[in-house]
Amino acid sequence: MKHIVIGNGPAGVIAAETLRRTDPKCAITLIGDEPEAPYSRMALPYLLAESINEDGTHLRHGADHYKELGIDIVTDQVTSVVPDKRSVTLVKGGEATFDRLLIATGSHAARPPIPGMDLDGVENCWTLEDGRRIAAATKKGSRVVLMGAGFIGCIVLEALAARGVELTVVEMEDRMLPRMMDHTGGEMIKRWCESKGVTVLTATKVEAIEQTGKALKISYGDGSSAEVDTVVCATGVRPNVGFLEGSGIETDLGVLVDNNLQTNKDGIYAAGDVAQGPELLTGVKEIHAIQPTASEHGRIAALNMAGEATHYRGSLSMNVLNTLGLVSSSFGLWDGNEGGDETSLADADSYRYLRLTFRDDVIVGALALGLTHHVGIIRGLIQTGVKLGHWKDRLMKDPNRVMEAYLARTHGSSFGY
Amino acid sequence: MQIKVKTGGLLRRYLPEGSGSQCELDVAAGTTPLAVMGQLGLPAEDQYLVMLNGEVLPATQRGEIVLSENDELGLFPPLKGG
Repeated sequence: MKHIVIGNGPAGVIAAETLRRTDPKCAITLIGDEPEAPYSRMALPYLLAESINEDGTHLRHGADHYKELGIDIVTDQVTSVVPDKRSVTLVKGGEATFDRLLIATGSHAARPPIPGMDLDGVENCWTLEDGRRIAAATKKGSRVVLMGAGFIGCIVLEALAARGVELTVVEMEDRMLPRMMDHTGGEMIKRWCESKGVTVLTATKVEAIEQTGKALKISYGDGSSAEVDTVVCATGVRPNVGFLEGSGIETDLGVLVDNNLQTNKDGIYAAGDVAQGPELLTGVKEIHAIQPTASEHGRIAALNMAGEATHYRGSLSMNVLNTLGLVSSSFGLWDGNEGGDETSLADADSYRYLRLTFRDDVIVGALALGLTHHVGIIRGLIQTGVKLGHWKDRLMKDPNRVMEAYLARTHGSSFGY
Repeated sequence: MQIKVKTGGLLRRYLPEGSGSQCELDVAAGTTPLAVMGQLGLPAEDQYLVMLNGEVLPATQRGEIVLSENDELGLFPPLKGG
């Protein structure tokens, strides 16, 4: 059996390793288009903050890791897939054939259509090479504008702050983390960042970036402007599906997959950021561009590729974020669930917030701020669909009792009345 | 004719004021999901996850499928990430 895995991020690497564990004899080729050892983009902020070196970004350590597993590493780019011929076309390497294929090509950084985005000094923070350039360009006191205060933006924010730069964050929406926090939480995070010396401009659009001598002039929608040394763009990602055009592999925003992570073409699978697959709570095919989903997808796709039929329950959207020491998290249907109840408790002065959403007596979504010890429990309650019974009414009155509810309903402990 | 439109996240702002995350919408007979998205003012250059009666409606079909009375059209952000 000959397997090709396109993409050497977490989904691709875990898939290749799972294939080897499941089938000692099969041939495995892992194709990546960056000239790097397989690494984790998630680790780039830690590299920028200088809490790890480049080796620390690598997904696996030891020069011979892949060789020892008999995984053939190829640095090349796939330009097309022909399902009927069971072949892929490569930029450098001509054609390669497969029995089973995994598409794990991830996503790319989306850039807004603003004049000046192609200037030197305007960077994404997406690849290891981006990280090297930002590290070289930013020093203590550098004037940096970060475009986008979403999840990735806020991680990069933390890293840039650690480098001691003079930092301004610009977000088009009216709050920080508009896609993972409601107004209450987003406002608290903004106030927290401002208290740490970061300038936060919400409801602000960048209109243009121009070169002015060695610096960049950034112009905002309200007519104001600023001179800066570096602009870092973190305005979202989009799946890498362009090379599949005309292949007959069904795509929407990502590659559509079923509960076995298989596409509409027999023997061709997709995993990670590029896969649009079932969500855990609704079954709707969504893209969850997060590492936990990439890992699960990679493992389950590989088991199916190796002939061990494995059903995937679906992915749970979750984010846990540390913004300059304030930890926030969001899970599942935090934005409400049709016909379901919800409850919340906020203490703005001490930066604590908890919101829970329910379907009947099961928690299906949550937001938490400043409450790290709740995070694992909330995830567990959602993923295992624990029925809370009369504990739901108690949580509606005081969501902070979620730990007690968990113990009572899963362990039958002394709390379990 | 009437259809039901459901949205999520930041796309709620495109529904008539006071709708919350869903509303009934009066649309012309023979209209397509793409036309409804235009009617609501969703920027054409952005990407969306579109659902019709609970099923994902890929981008290529949004301008072709004709909506029927009481159809449920879901308009959501393209991806959840981090």
